[in-house]
Amino acid sequence: MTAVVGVGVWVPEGRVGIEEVGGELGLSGMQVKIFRRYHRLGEIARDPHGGLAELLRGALDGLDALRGQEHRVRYVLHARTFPTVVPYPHDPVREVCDAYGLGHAAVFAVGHHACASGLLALDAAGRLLAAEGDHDGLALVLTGEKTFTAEARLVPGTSFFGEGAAACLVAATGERDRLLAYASDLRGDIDSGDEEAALAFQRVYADTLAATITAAVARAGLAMDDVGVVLPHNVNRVAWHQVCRTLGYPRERVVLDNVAATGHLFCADSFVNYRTAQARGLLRQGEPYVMAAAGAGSGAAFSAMAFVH
Amino acid sequence: MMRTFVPHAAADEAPAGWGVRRAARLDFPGPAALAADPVHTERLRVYLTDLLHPYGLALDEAALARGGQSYAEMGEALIALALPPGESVDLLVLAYAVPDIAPGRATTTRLSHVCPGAPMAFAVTDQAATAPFTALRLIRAYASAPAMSRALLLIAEQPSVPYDAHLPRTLPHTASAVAFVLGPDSPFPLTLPTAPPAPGRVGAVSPPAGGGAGGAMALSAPGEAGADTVRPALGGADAVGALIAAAPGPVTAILGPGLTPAAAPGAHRARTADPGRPTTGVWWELAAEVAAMRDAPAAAPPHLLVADRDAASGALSLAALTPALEAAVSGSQP
Repeated sequence: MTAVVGVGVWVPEGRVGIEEVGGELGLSGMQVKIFRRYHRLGEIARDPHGGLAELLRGALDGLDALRGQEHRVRYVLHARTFPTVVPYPHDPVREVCDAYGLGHAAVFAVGHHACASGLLALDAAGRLLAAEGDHDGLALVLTGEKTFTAEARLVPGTSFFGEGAAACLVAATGERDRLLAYASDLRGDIDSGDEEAALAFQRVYADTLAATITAAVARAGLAMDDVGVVLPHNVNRVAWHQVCRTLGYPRERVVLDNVAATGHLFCADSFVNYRTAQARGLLRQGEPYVMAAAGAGSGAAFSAMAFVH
Repeated sequence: MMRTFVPHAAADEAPAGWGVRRAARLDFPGPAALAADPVHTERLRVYLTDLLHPYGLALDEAALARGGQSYAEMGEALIALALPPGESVDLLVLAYAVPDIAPGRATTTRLSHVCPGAPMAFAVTDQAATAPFTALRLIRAYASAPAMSRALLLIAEQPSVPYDAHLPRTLPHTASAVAFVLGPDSPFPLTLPTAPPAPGRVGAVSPPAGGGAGGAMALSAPGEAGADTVRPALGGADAVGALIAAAPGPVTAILGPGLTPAAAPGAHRARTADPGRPTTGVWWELAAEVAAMRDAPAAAPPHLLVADRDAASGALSLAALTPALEAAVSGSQP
């Protein structure tokens, strides 16, 4: 059964206020005020000097579980919110893998689930290892992207993207953080980056994400009452409060600490929030928890995973 | 459509006889309909300009104006061609190397919406010609999950990249895509052979720059991919030869553009892919083999061995199919 062996994260120290980001994007003062006062957004993490490679290096530097185990890594999966993040055929992910002793691994990108691609990659990684019967092998899921263009800076009416990265080491079996179930709902009917699609996404967001979480939890043979904590994607507090109301789940048990401090870190949010929950002692041995993510723009996806710690 | 999964269990296996059921292929010589949309083109201009800026690269406006292809449009055409009325799939995987003209679009999510069965769908990329083989490994891995055994693999490429990245690249001569319908009880079971790791590579954590021992094999199997480990002049000939020798009958080798028939010693016949199809080439030829078998069934059809090598990394990937197919179709998009 797929298990998380370790998680390394990196969020650069640089911060930009949402007023500045809103100015870059041509948002009105009122729009920015709504983001700050209503959605409770504040600062966005950015690394003004580094590229994608530097983000991923930061996450790998924090992945202690990888040290000495590099030779066991069979696959490296970069989970993408945006399918194309560097000029073709530049491949900074491969360069980073070479530098970290992972040149022997099969390195590729998976995605087209928007910001839920990180959960897809985690499921795919464990499944690849298990299907090969490779119980000694490991897979590495990398997440994190640069806010290189307007589309990669703003989730219209919802959030701002920030820069950060995570590296998650995965095994086909293990006891530390075992994956129990995964649910995914793809909404290809929401397929453009225009305002209408953004509104459509917002209309279905709370109900669909709540249904996806419920589906993952039920498939794991659990009820929401069993779930100790939810590790969300960092869109905004209001959106999660709506999801909690729909689920009948206490909002205090959703790790929203990073929403106002970093922005929405593409596919890395759930992993960054894992480390936050770990630091706060919110992950208890034997207790189930949930990772959940959704993304929209040109193609919407809602995903959730149930784990036991 | 909500889909739920539990992790792969030890006893899980792909269903008996899982393999290729049908193949389809299409060329797309003209630009996508999306390319004629000025709103999209302006959005693409901004996206690419910002993508290129950190690298000190500039957009080629003339190339942008010529348009390009959309994997969503190509995928929709292939879905219609590969899946007859009443047939559906549980999983759709798109493999590609060259980005299309919608670099920010979750194309497979769109394809899931239009594909019969509303399949789980995702993309595999940034692995050059190896990506379709990795996609097949993933599809096979998911096939062991309940209600996930029927899948559609789409392999696509298109030539419009409106900038010079100052790195070696091989773009296709035309846009093309190949589809394979996969499922249980296939008359054409599929395997993805692996080979022993290259000598001296297991346990290495700091591969030497520029390659390793000459003549060692580099397959795309986990832990054995030789991206920067081995770049033999005749990568994997021993492994391919061993597979051919082990086949119970004659073997037709379908070789990627970078391979010569010498890479498949003992093959009854070798078919080399068009260099103008760097990603889809071997799959284009495989679809043709499938069509030929349909049109002229043989008493003892050959086994098929697909081999392709990533020109940049030297990694060799393999797929083996046993004969007899349900059907195949091919054509050209007007």
